[in-house]
Amino acid sequence: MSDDIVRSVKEALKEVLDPELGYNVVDLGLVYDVDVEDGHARILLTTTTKGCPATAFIRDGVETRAASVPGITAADVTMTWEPPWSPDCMSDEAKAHFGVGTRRTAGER
Amino acid sequence: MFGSVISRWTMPHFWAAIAFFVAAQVAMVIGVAYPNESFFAPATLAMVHLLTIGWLTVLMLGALHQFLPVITAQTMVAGTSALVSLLAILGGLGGMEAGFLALGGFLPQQAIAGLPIGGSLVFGGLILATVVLGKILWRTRPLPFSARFVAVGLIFLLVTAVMGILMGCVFAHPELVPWSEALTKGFRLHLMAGLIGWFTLTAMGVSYRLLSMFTLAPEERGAVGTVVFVLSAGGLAVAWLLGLADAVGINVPGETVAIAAVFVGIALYLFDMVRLYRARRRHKLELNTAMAAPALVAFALCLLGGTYMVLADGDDRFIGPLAYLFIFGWLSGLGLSQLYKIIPFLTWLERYGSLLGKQAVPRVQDLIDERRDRPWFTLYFAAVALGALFGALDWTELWRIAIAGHLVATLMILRALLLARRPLSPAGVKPHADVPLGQRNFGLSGLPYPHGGTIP
Repeated sequence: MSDDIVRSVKEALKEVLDPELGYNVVDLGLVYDVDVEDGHARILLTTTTKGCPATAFIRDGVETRAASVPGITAADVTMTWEPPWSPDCMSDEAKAHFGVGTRRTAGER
Repeated sequence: MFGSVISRWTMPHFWAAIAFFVAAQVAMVIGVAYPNESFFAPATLAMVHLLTIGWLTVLMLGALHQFLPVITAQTMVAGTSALVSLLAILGGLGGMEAGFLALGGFLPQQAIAGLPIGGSLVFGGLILATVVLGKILWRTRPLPFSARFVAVGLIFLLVTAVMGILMGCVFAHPELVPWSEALTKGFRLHLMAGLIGWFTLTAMGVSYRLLSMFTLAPEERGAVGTVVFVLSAGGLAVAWLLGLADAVGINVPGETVAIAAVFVGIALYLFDMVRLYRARRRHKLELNTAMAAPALVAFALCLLGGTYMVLADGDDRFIGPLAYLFIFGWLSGLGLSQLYKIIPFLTWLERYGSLLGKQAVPRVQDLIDERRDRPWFTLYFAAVALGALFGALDWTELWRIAIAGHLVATLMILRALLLARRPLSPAGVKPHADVPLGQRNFGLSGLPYPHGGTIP
């Protein structure tokens, strides 16, 4: 049951975008953790860069969308920048979308 | 809470700046200023200050009000003081323009007083902006890498302004200061502080942060970045001080070495930008990051031209076309290309940020049309390249036609930026593959938004 509702929350959060990258926060790997206990969702979230002006909007959007999932009575979002986000956090689909890993980069030499 | 604020006066800075940019280009095209008139003609000075204060300084201050908190990960932004600063700069610039026009005989001679008075008003606005931005920097000590460039840039901004006011006094009361000496030596230091110290160092710092963010490239620049900062900022400070000593009659050797250090620092910066682009993780470049590249190429060409001038013992035959390439290719090219990202991004934050998670919202990319706008950026840079070439060949009329070319491109880019501000109806939200748009609002109608109002 708990796994199912965590999955539902993650699926719902795919409707929340990072506006600059134009891709959903889950596949970008910005959602570090989702935990649900007695209908209370606790989400650990980051942004692509510390100081991003969209941070409050993304946090509020994630909180509101998570709280609207059936079975969720409350949602809390905690922001963290440890560890810092990197493109390696993206899902394979997101990496393909941005072309991450499709060319040899200087860091990979 | 990090990064949760929007600088509400940044957008007015941008619109005012673009208006001045267009006005300056019109003045060049219709032939009332350089290149038709001489470099020191009053109408040219009026046009140059439209470019340097009205366009570039206002643009950079507007951008810093929004992005210095991003660079430093601080929440603090300028409130009403940013508006007061903007109004002081605009009012003061008006006075300066009147002063320059009076110098040229277009206005009564009394209006020459507009130079020191307007200059002082501009200076007041700049001090206000610098205090606000300086407070952000002060709270961030030790400064992050890119913020160090901004800090030095702001110091040079004030130095440039002080020198400008002094030169305005020279124009208004030539009997008080030895005219030619103050004009030539002060002019050189004024240019050095403004073009390299304020504009270029600040653009270098901001570009390090923004371009790495937009291209998903590593922000850490390592030893190369440190050397870039030490040589470019430190070298310029030494060169400027030695130049000042020379202007007051104290001859201290070493200015050429210091200038060489600045050139090496800039060359390393350009090398580091190539490294940054090559190390990017976002393989598919957006138009703003793709179009920063020709601006960097223009900067590299200016560096080559500057090196030639130093090696050729001050051969300044090409200084006009080089200054043109520097302002239109490097600084304005970088500014325009990044506005193409920043204005839609700020528009998104203002219009759609509070709807996130409640209904389908457009992406920043949906507010613009890169395919439609790419030719205008191409025209802009092609026209600037041709203009610099025609200028170097002394083909003034063709040069003005080239300027007309980038004026048209600027107007079309302005149109794109204005279109990005249009309200986008939910029906206009383009579906994008990764996000199921589904229903418009997730059954939340009637609930309050976190930032006021209710969900429709």
